[in-house]
Amino acid sequence: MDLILTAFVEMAQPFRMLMLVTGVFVGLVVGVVPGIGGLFAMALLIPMTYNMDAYAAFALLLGMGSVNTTSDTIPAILFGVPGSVGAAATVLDGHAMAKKGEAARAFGASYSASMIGGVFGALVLAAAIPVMRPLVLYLKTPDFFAICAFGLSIVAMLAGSQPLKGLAAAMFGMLASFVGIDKIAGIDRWTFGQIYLWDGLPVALVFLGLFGLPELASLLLRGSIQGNAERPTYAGMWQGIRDTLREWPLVLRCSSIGSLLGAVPGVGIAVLDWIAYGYAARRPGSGPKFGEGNVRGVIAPESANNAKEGGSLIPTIAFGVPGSASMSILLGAFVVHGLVPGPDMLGKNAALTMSMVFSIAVANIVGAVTCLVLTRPLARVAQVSAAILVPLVVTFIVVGAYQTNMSAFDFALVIGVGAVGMAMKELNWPRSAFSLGFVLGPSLENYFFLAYQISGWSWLAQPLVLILLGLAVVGVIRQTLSWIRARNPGGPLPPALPDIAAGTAMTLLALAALVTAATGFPFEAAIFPIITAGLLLAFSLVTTVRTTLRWRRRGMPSASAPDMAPGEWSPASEPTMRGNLAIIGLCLALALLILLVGHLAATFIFVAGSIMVLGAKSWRPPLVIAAAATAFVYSVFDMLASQPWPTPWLAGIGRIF
Amino acid sequence: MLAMIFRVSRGPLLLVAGLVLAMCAQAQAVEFQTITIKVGYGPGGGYDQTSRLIARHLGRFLPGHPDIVVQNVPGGGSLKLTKMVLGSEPADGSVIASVSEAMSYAPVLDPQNANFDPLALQWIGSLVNEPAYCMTSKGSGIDTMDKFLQSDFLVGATGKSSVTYIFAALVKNGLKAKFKIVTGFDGTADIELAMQRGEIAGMCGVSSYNTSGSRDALNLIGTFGSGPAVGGEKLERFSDKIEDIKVREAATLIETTLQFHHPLVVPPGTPKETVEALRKGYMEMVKDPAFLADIGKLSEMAVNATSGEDISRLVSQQLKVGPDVFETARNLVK
Repeated sequence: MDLILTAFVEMAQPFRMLMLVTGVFVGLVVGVVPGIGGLFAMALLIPMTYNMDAYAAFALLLGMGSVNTTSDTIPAILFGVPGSVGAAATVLDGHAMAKKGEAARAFGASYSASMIGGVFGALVLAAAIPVMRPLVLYLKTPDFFAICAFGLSIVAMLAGSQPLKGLAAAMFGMLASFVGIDKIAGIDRWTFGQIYLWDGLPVALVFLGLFGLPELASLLLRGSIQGNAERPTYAGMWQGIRDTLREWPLVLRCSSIGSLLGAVPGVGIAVLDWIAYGYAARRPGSGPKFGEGNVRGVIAPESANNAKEGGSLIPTIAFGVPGSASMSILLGAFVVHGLVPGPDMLGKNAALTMSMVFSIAVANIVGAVTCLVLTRPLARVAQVSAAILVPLVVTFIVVGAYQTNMSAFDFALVIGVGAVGMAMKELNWPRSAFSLGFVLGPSLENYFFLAYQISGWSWLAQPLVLILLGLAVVGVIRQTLSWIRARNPGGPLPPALPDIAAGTAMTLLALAALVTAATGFPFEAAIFPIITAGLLLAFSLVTTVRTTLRWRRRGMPSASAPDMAPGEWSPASEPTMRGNLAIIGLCLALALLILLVGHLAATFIFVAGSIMVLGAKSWRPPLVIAAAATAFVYSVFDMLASQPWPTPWLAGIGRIF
Repeated sequence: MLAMIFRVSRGPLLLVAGLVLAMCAQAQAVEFQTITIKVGYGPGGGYDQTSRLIARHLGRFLPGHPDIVVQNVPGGGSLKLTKMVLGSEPADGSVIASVSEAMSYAPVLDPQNANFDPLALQWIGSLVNEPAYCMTSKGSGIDTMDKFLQSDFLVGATGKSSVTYIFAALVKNGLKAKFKIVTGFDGTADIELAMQRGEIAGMCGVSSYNTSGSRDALNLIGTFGSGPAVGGEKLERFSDKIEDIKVREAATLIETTLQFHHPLVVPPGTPKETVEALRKGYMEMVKDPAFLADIGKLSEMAVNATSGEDISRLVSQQLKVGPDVFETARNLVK
């Protein structure tokens, strides 16, 4: 009790509170803008804390880190573009709600869930203080593997109406995650001689392309976010908050998932987000199906991803082992302030640890309230014409992507993944299953080999491992049984011919991966890719054969009646090729402009130009919007996150002559 | 026709001439505008933190007092950045790179991936020159050199190209030690935690400042590289125990890099005056009380700088040994 009081008094100082609030606002901006993650912002803020006292420093850093998972839902719900990797799961139902005119409700639900989750995570951290060290020491490497395997079994929940495709998508995701230099044998896998690929495909870029670009294509076709749905009302926000309160058991369970998994090193926010979503998908409750705008699909990931901040501090404070990537940067702040993670943080410096709990809790409350206040204007964005929104969102996706590595490969990757995402969306290959496979692949492989090197196979007999693996198997069996029972779900199926083509392409890809892995990689580096590629081969081959049979039986492509709304697990019902091509064209144009004239001039030319092309009545509004967009890009990517941009080609040519 | 081309191109020609003149003038009095320090690792690690600190201070010691910004270019344990420095980065002093000291012999150990000439790099200076250790947890019961070499236990390492692996392999292969090396940990903190959990017993190639928090829970077994151990403890040097002369020579070759931990480099074509200005500024910075105070906050790392000239000399010595020693070194750290 004394401890809490001391921490409270220490934090009550005006400067420290000011730093906390500053951190929160920086964190909100960082969360909204795709491409800049909390990780990068943390690295930028650390040097500013050198001259502060430790309380103020951690208030600033944790304030920033706690809330970017609150505001990253704004672009996720409005545009289907995840503001950070932690918002990808929110896209599915949150954006579907916005399309139905329920943006305000989705915001209300997501902010309140974020707030409760965040405070819950802080309380878990506080409760863990006395037992932190034994707790972290109790979990051994095999347990980490079992946790990841259990996480992967959630894929079964995400597989949707064509389960084989869902499983294939998950394997495809895992296969994609193996690109890069492997950690065990140290050889490069499928990098094609490109240094760019050594560290694997960047998660942030993959999610931006996979979710953001396909949603933009359908936005362009609809004309505005909510199309013809009714006007959003401010009351929707309160309804969303009531939804969260009504679903309190779900909120608490997903907050627990977030804070507990947050404490496991290697299980990042991208993973626990999908696990919470899949968990909620098991019991959809009343309302629309998952993926078509079920509010539980917003509440679950949002409560989990805010709860992780508290959880991932546990191993960081107790042992100096970062529970997440941004925690490894926070660790730098520990040393700067002469703090040694370990027993001291729970004894001599316990008041400071308590102040971190306080910072996380307050930051989550301030962040959520700020976002709630902004809901009314934001929900109106749902009615703005797509001709204005699409160029702006494309700009943020493309500039944000370029910011990751400042390489032309960034463009190629985000656009390429975007094209894959469009095909997956249209042909009912669930992108959610792909994502879970993609984020879990490396941890599964790495923990497996660590466990194997440390104790051979004997770790399989450890109690926690047995329980977790058992749960995973039971879950998968139950789901399989329910698939067999509902043999012909009768949902709409995508057009057969493109589906056969995609299935065949996937089968060939799997075969190529299988052969190259089996012949080119040493055993340790080959085994996981071989298993994954083998499963992918089997799943996609069976799907392709079944689609072919269906096509031949009917004699013609089956464009079955769209009796349900298009969503994550039902194919698109309108012709979308035109929208897809338009979005890819816009991205390519902007990418080229950025390479030619630099990101600022490119933003101006692109926004003004494409708004005019997409249909503006006069020339003035496009120029004003373009100028505002350029100013915003400048303030975020050059002032807030100041960094050296590569010289544009034209400037390079100018310099030579 | 020819005259026309000549007339048209006269404008640009004059411009080029002007630029060349301007560049010569600049070369005489080096003045820095803005400098970017690129770090070959992701945010948060030792290389990133020290680079951000250097960015705060180095500008004060350079002509023109440039602003210095930091950018992370992670990939392949800084191999990616090293290749960029040798290939595409501007050679005008506007980009400095913070890469692993192991880059000086990467082509020797991994000729396939690291196909470059380390001598082409221009070294600016390095922060730390101190030995590395093998250490075990107190709970493991392995507390002497003999037990370390004779017992059957596990040593943790990160990737195969990391110092934690290279130095463990050096002991294992050079001294026929019986331990096994477990690879795949995330960093030294992760290895240490596994030691505390009792899953593995030790780690190698680690500097003392990496483990400042848990010194009492660790046994220091032996050292790599020259120089006294921390706290004046009497420890044996592993390479001294290697009997085969050629193997010992190979081990010493690998140890050389410990003398220039956390180095900075600039691209090959950087003008001599610019390199000299950077080297001079660097050596002034490492004596500056404000810089040392900041580094002191960062960790208990003792700054013991090596000048760029010295590093270049060490690297060329390192690469002068015969190809058979390279071959031995390759096998030693396999």
